[in-house]
Formats: sequence, structure tokens, C-alpha cells
Amino acid sequence: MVGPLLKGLKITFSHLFKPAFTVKYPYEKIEVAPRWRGKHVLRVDEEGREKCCYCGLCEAVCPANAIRIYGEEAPLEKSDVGKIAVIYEIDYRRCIFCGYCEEACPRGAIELTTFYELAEPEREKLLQTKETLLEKR
Amino acid sequence: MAVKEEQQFKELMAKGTSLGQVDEDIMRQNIRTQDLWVNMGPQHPSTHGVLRLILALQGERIVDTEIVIGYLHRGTEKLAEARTYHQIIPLTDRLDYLASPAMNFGYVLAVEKLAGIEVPERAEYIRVLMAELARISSHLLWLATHALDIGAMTVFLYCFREREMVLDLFEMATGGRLTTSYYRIGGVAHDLPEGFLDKVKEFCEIFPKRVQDYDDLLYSNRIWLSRTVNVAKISAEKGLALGLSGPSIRGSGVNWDLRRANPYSVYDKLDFEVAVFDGCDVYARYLVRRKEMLESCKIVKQCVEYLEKTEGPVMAKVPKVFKPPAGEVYFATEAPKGELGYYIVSDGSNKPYRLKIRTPSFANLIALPEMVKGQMVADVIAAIGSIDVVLGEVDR
Ligand code: SF4
Ligand code: SF4
Repeated sequence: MVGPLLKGLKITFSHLFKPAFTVKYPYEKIEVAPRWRGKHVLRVDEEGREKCCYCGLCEAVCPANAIRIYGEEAPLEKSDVGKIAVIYEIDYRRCIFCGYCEEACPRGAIELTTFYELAEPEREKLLQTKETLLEKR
Repeated sequence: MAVKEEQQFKELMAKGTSLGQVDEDIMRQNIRTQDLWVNMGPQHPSTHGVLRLILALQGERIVDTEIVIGYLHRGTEKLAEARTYHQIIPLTDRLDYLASPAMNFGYVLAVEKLAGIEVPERAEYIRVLMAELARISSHLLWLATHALDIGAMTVFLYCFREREMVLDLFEMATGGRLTTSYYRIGGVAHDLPEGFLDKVKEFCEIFPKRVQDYDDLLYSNRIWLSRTVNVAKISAEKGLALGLSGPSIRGSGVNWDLRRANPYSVYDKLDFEVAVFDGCDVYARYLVRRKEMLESCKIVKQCVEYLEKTEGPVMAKVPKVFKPPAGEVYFATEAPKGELGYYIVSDGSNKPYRLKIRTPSFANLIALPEMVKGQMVADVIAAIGSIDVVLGEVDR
């Protein structure tokens, strides 16, 4: 009867001398895999023009209806195909980070990054707009 | 003193009983007991989510159990009617969120059967690999919480450590840890990343040793045995009549595993044993899942062997606007918790007309009142743990 208990104690005791497995999170950041589906980013091309051409595929494919876009004609210095999304909103209260928008986009304009600290003190701040999504160069 | 008691008093005195004895006898005759109704849950930590049980107790014994569910209802089946076939995949992740690849797997197989899509073999192996890793991770979480409920804290910590390794693998291949959304109709989203298979191999090396550790802590531990052996028994006939499936019925000696009974995907090419034990109790169900983890590890190894040797596409040709022919289909797979079935009615449009999901935990939960009848209150916790419910799929 005591045998198995001692065996168990031996295991727990041996773990005392092994390195800790936990990460002290806010002080140590966790490295995530490159495929991680975190915060979105709207990519710009080499000349600083927005890649998004307002085709609307991402909005259509989103299973959570989290994306809202509205586009307009734009001069060539702003877009190489003459159209940009004036409004591009992703509602993080709805988004489920499935990555379908990235998969659907024909121009690689929307991508999910490895940034994962997305909590906000207020719900309103969870609405991502073009200002917060656009890639900074 | 009521008239009845007075009469009893006189009768007893006439028999020559002592006064103290008389008092006690009268009390005994007049005490009435009644069932005590106790709520367990929905916030009870050992109900694994938001399950509520109403227990009728006679002292410490359970005479009746009522199950109240629905606290996590999200209307998945209804939502699916307004989503395209592709968009439903992320919804299935959220059924059994502890083994989302297995949930995706059943769904995509059902749709592929409906539309008659041939999936490349490499994709099939990747899917099986992921589904078996999901089984390991699900069973690890089960063992962790089940042991914690019964009082073995240490196992909980160790199991979570290994589960973390599996989740890291998921993260590497799919980008998500819990809700992986990795499977697609006709294949998988991307091929495996570089270095993934080496990591899987590493895990397969370590894992059986870790199972040995859990065994040392539980397998013949006196406390574990007395909390699980002969507790919450259910016979094979009763279990089958109630629709038990998965490890819960294999713990009652029924050799029924859909991976063997109705081989889908590439399971017929893989070599593994179906874990069956006939103790009918919590301990037998523990043994089944324990062995299944090791068997899954074996399957994973075989998949890695195949995937290392071959290259090829991981996605069949599926049109962007996917419209399966009108008709209906039912496809059942062996999810970590039991038989997972998808019933799809298609009217030929890009959205299903109806999607019915037969989730294992929901069916298994029905057997709970039968298991705990006449048992002690503390055994309810062992029983809930032993059928491994996940409320995400019970409520859908
Ligand atoms: S990640 Fe998924 S839910 Fe989020 S915006 Fe993209 S498609 Fe929609
Ligand atoms: S982000 Fe991509 S998919 Fe969405 S509108 Fe722009 S170009 Fe189209």
C-alpha cells in the first residue's frame, strides 16, 4: 500500500530539481510561431501605396461578419489599380481570428501578424480602423 | 404530546420498557426522512464548464439525477444554415474546443462524401496526424482535470505540461492553439511547416515516458483505486441502449471504434490496437483513455514516417464557389469523446439547408443518471470526469 505512494512521491520530489516550465508572462514574452493568427495588418507596397483594391472578397468570406469596407476611386499615386478602401474596419469584438480574410485576399493586402496582446480596457477600442491596421513604413 | 405518541407511550410502558428507552423508540418511529434536492453547478469547478445537475439525495446516496443543459448554447446548427460550406469549418472548431482538428475532420469528411471529392493522400495523412494529436491533447486534459477533481493535483500539472507541447505543435502548423481551423474541404489549409515533423518525432519520443510518470502516480495508487474501482458502473447493454460511444463504452467491454469498425480516411492502412477494458467502472474508462493516448502516439509515428517520405499536393481541386449536389449525407467519425456525426442536407446551393451534429458528449451525458444511481455524492464527480464531457459540444 505504501509502495505506490512512495513511487509517486519520488516523481514529485525529482521534479524539484528540474528547471521550471512556467513562463513569467508579462515580464517574459512568449515567442509564437510565424503562422500565428494575431492582429491584422493592411500591407502597403514599395511606393507606400495601399495594396488593398477594394475587391470585397475578405468581407464576403469572413464567417463572423467582422469586416466592413467601403471603397472609392483613387488617383494612381494612391493605388496602382485606381481603387482604395476608404473605410476598412475589423471589429475585434466579432473577429474569431480564423485567417480566412488573409486566405481570400488576391493581393496579399490583409495579413494576420504574430502580435497577440489585444486586450483593451474599453470595448470601443476593439474596433480596428484603417489608422490602426495600416502598416507603418 | 400528540395523541398517537401518547398511545405509543402507554403501550411501551405496559410492556415494561425503561423510560429512556421508551423516549428513544417513540422518536425513532416518528422521524420521517425526505429527499434532499441539491444543485450542482453550473459554476461548480468539477462540472467541466457549465453543466448543472440537480441531485436528489437520501443522506449521502443519490436517488435521482436531473441534467440541466443549455448554458453554452450558441445555435451552431442554425448559424450553419446562413454560412457557406467553407465558413462552417471555424464553427465546428468551437464544438469540442479541446480537440478542434477532430471536429473539423468529421465535417470536411461529410462534405467531401456529399460532393464526391477525392482528397490527396498526403493531405489525408496530415489530417490523421492532426486528429490523433488532438486525441492525445484531449485525453491529456481529461486526465489532468479528472485527477484534479478526485484530488491528485500533481498529475494535473504534469499533463498540462505535455498538452502544452501538443498545442505548440498545433500553433506551428496551423497558427491557432485551440481553434485551429486547419482542415479545408478537399485537404488542409497549408502544408506542414519545415521542422514540424522533427518536433512531432521528439514529442513521440518523450510522451510514452511521461505516460509512465502518470502511471507511477495513479495506476496502482491506493487512493486513486478506491475512488475509481467499482464506481459509477454501467453495463454494456445499458450503455449501448443509452447510446454511449467512444472510450466510455469501450470501458464496458464493447469493442466499437469507428476507426476500425468503419475505417475512414487512411485508418485502414495504419496499425493500432483498439483499447477495450471490461471493468465497466471509472477505472476501466481511465485505462481505455490511457491506452488510447499511447496508441495515438503510435499512429502519429506512422503518419510521420509516411509524410517524411512523400511530397505532393495537400489540396484537391475544389471550386472557389463550392456548391455540392442536392442530397443528404451522414458521416460519423471517432472523435476523442466518441462518435461524432454530421448530417447534412443540401439543396444544391452554397449553404447547407440543414446541418445536424451528433456530438458524443451530449449522448454520453444521458448515461450519467444511470451511472450514479445509488452512489455517493462524491462519486458524481468521478462519474462526470469519467465520461469526459465538454459543454461546448453538449450545448452546441
Ligand atoms: S480573421 Fe476571420 S473572423 Fe477575423 S476578420 Fe478575418 S475572416 Fe473575419
Ligand atoms: S483586403 Fe484584399 S480581399 Fe479585402 S478588399 Fe482589399 S484586396 Fe480585397
